[in-house]
Amino acid sequence: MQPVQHHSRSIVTAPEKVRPVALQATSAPLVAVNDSSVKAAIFNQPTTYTIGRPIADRPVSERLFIALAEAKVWTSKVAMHLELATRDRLFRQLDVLHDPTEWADGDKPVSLESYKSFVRAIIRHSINSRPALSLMPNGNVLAMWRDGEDKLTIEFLPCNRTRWFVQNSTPAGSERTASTTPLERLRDVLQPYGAERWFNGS
Amino acid sequence: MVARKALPETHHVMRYIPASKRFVDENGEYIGPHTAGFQLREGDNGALSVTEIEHFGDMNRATRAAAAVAHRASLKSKSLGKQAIFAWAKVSDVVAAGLEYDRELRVVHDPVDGNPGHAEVRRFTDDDLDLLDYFATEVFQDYETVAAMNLPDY
Repeated sequence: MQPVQHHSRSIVTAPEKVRPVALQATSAPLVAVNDSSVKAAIFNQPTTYTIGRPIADRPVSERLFIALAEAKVWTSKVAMHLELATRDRLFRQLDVLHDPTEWADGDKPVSLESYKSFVRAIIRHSINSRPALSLMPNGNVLAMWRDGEDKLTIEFLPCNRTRWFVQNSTPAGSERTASTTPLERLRDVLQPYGAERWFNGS
Repeated sequence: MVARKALPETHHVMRYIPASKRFVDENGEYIGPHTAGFQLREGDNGALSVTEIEHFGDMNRATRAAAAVAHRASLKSKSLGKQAIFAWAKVSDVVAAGLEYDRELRVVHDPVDGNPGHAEVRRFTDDDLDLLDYFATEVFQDYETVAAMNLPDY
């Protein structure tokens, strides 16, 4: 899938609209309606209907497409804060991660709220490095940075929260540390492990 | 759980990890597996589901392929993603990794329909991110993609 152009509405929030059943063409002759209950039944109907199945019931390829489209549309709304190359790289990685031919039963496509946390982290902490990405089975975005044998993995949770894991070499041996922290404190809590080398990469 | 025979410590077990449990690098290329590859799945039934490679002969490329075919036969879909991987480890390394995290893991033979070499890593829980990462990067560090295994069609 190629990066999408800017859209004002996602395909999920713009359901297909159809004419009410009562107004559709019929071969029956028009007659005056005097019964008030019949009038109420006709004229109190909603003016629009949403057709189609719930997202969870749709084929995998559709669910993946919808989740990708939502993520890309949301990205377009904050695109002014992202470099074009960054946006393209994220889209490229998301596309590969949502390949329907590789999709595992039971997995969920990218969680929009988790993805928002991830992009907000890039913007807030001026992360210009290029982490590898993946998804947790619940759709949360997982980002991984490497520096030789050292490694930082962050799971981006909804509502600007993060769960992170650092593997760090020291003269005394390898350290492995895991914790959770609000997104805004990410750079501070990772400072002892050298946040710059993870976030300020080329 | 039914009592099962423990696998010899010199044997190897391999785990199927879908491509969605691998990282994708900046160029859009799949790289290694991550923690979710070792989270318990529905089909794991409370223990980490693996396949004993030596059940199909001496450890080599051909027996790994035979083990992969057996794993595929045990799936409802009977299909494997081409970019999915089979990652393998020595039973003794799995047990030793558990001890580092104060867990007495047991790797036991547990045949299932379609896969006579199926085995389980018992007493394994997936609530420790550190342990899962250790399994993904240090214990099951050798792997091969399904595409590279040249498996016969089902």
